[in-house]
Parts: sequence; C-alpha cells; structure tokens
Amino acid sequence: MSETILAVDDDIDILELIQMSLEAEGFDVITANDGMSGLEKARTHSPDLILLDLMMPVMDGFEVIGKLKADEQTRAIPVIMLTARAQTHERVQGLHAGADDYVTKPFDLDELTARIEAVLGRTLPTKYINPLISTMGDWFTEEGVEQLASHLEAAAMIQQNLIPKQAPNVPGFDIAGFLRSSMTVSGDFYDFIPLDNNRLGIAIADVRGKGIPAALLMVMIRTILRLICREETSPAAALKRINDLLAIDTDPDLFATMVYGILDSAAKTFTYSSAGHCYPLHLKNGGTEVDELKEGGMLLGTFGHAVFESETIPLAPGDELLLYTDGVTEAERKSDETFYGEERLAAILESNSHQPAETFCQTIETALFDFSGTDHRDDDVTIVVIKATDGKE
Amino acid sequence: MTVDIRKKEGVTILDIEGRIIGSDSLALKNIIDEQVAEAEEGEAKILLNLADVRMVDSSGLGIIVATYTAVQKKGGRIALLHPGGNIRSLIVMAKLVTIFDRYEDEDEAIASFHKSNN
Repeated sequence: MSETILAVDDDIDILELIQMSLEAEGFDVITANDGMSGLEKARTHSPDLILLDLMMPVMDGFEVIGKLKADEQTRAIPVIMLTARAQTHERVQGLHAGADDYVTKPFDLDELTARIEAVLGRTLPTKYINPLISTMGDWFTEEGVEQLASHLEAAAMIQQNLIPKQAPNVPGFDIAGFLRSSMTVSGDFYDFIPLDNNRLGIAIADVRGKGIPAALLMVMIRTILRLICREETSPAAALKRINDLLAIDTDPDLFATMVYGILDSAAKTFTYSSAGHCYPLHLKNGGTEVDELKEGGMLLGTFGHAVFESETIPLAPGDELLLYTDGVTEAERKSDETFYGEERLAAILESNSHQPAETFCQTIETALFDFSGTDHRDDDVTIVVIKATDGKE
Repeated sequence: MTVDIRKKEGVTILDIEGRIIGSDSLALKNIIDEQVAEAEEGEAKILLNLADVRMVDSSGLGIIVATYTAVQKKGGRIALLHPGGNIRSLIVMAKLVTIFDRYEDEDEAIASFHKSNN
C-alpha cells in the first residue's frame, strides 16, 4: 500500500516538482497551494504525511501547524516543514509547534525522500524518545519526555550547525571530514580553522559521556579552541590551555580526548599534539608504511598538571593522514565480540590510498558496516582525512 | 561483566571478570562509588584486579579515570592489578601511565597502600 503525501506550497512550480518526484518514488501525492485548502485536504484525505511550506500568504505554515495540532482528526499526521536556509529561528519555532522535521530550500529531492521515509518510518520519535524514557526511569512522564525531546531536538540542531558544512580548499591537499552521531546530540566533533594564508587548524575530539552534558562540553572545547588558536603558536600550548580551563570547571566524570594539528600548506608539514586520543595514522613512503602519531599528553579536563608536547611531520605527495575517534576502532562485531581495531583501519588506509578524501571517509563507513553487520553504532563515528596531492588536479 | 568484592588488610579488592564495555562501565562505576562512599575519609583503598578482564573500551577506561579522581577527592587511592592486553594499551594511549600505579603481584599492591598511607 502506498502512502499519501499532502504537499502544501504557494509556489505551483515547487508543488509540481514535489509531486512528480514523489510519485516516481511510489507515493500518492495530493497538493494544495494555500494554507486554507491544505487544512481542508488534511481533514478530508487523512494523508500519512504533510509537507508544509512555512512562508505562504494569508495563512502561513505556523498557523496551519497550529490548527492541525489542535484538531483531533489531524493531530497525529506528521509534518515536514519546507523552509528557506536562513530561517533558523523559524525552523526551531516550527519544531516547537509540532513539526516532525524540516527540509531547507532549495532542497535536494533525494534528501526530501529520505526525510519523508525517516519520518514515516518513525525513526525520529524513537531516536529522540527511547533514550529519554530509559534515562528517566521512575520519573517517566509523558509530558516530561515530550518537553525533553523538544530541548534535545533544539540542542541537536545547534550542534549540527557547529560541524563544518564543507572541507576547506587548501592548495596541494585534499581534505574531508565525516561525523555520524549515534545519538541525537553527540560528544564528537571536528573543526577546520583557517589561521592565516598557509596554515589551517584541524581538530578532532571525543567527549566522554553522552547526551546533553557531553554536548555542552563539546561546545565549550570548540569555543575555547576557536578563541585561542591564533594566539597559541603550538598545538601543545593550545591543548594545555583548553585542559587547564576545563580542569577547573568540569566534573571529573566529564573529559575529552582530542587531536589538534596545524597543517602548513607552504611548508608541507603537519604539527600536532594529541590529548589522550586514538593515534592518528600517517600513510607514507609512497603508501607502503603506516605510522602512528603518538606525541601529546593526557586526556583533557581531568588533570590540572597535564603537560603536552607537539611534533612536526613532513607530508610528501601521496602521504595521507587519518584522524578518527574510537567509534571507528571500537565498532563491534557482536557474533565474536571483536572490535574493528586499528590494524584493520591501517590496512584499509593502505589499500585505498588512490581514493579522494571524501570517498575514503565513505569507504571506512562501509567497511564498519560490513564488519559489524549493522548500521547501529554504540558511539559516534568521526573521521578526518588529509591527503597530500602532487599539486596537480 | 561480574565483580566480586573482597577485603584484605584494609584494602578493597574488586575482582572483575569479563568485559568492561558499553553499559558495563556504568554498572562498574556504581559498584566502585558504593565502595568509595562506604570508606572513611582518607581510607578509600581500592584495588581493581583486572586479571580476568578480556576487553575494555574507552568508556570503561573513562570510568576508571573518573573513579581515580573521585577517590583522590576523598583522600584515598586506587591502583590496578594485572592490567593486561588492551587496557594496557588504552592506558598508554591516553598517557595515563603516570596516573595509575600498576602491579603484577597482589601482596605487593596491598603493601603499597600501607606505605602510601604513612
């Protein structure tokens, strides 16, 4: 049985585009080109999902959501908002009003389909609510869960906006980042910070613990790093400052591991320091050798007396750096209780050195799936790949 | 993961068996927290016997670090007995070798608590 989607938008061209592409995906599609008729069709057709433009004349999307949610007959129909990219505030407002998800215009049709399938498949509600129910235990109330879930959604959105949208363009290098969160809000992050014409700050971090507390610490670390990274000339000094600030203020249960490095595209070097993080891998000598980058110090935020060291390594054309969080190496195959581990990761790095950085991130993600037999992850998976190219495109 | 608790010469020894991964970490934290809470101020002497621990993930190591700081706050001490295989490499990677005293002999480990108490 195919599901019925009601699309509401005042732009006839967009409606037509949505109708065509969703019908091609096997959905039944009905359309309305203003809020009022959208409401009527929601009542008369009982669609399985509503795609709703927020900005419409006469009755806008917020009013439509309000009326849908006030009506017993239409209350349960999931709503995906269509919003312009800049309307962050509106998006949050829409989610509070009861929308299930949003897609920003101009949207990719594949993304739209994926969001629809996610909402119809109820992946969102369980994703947000199940962890809450288990955390709340005896204090569980439906209103409480609902309220927390909306806070979580807002937090997750803020956090997603802190992850780089695209990797920077650095002459002579091919760089990519990848983050797959295991929960709505995560403790992992990576960052690219241009320091001057030739130097790029690159960070990858994993905050221990989960959920909101971990996410808050993640935001603190990212903010401190961004504030100090132009003052501190060495990665070790930057990590030391982050550590000393965190060690004063945070609970001992909360701490982070992190690698911070500076890529110098003129000198073709990478200067890094690791705070108790998984060793980055360095593929070198024409792809024949993999080194672990071990220099650094203790994990961040627990020990006030921690000390850090930096190391500079040269990057020859064909060299590749792989930074990752333990969600990669600790991806587990349940059948024999085995972790993916660093050796498999080093092997996949050696055998895929021809791939562009972004493709290689996907290759690792696929390898984790093949290894574990599931796309469920107990931990966030974060990867940063830096390839030294020969300078020619 | 299973944990047996025994006391020897004022030292609380936790014999841990199995794996410390995922939710085991929280269970272990609760057990250790109880032991720390029961101890008198300055008297928390905890020895984690890891001889039969097959695998620890980073959250497991995280709990051990958190426990270290909690015990320190109470003026106590925590040490590791027989940290083998992958926990040893995790400790090395996290640069924690200077934080955790590690022993391969139980009597030596217990004696160390009495020394450090003086």
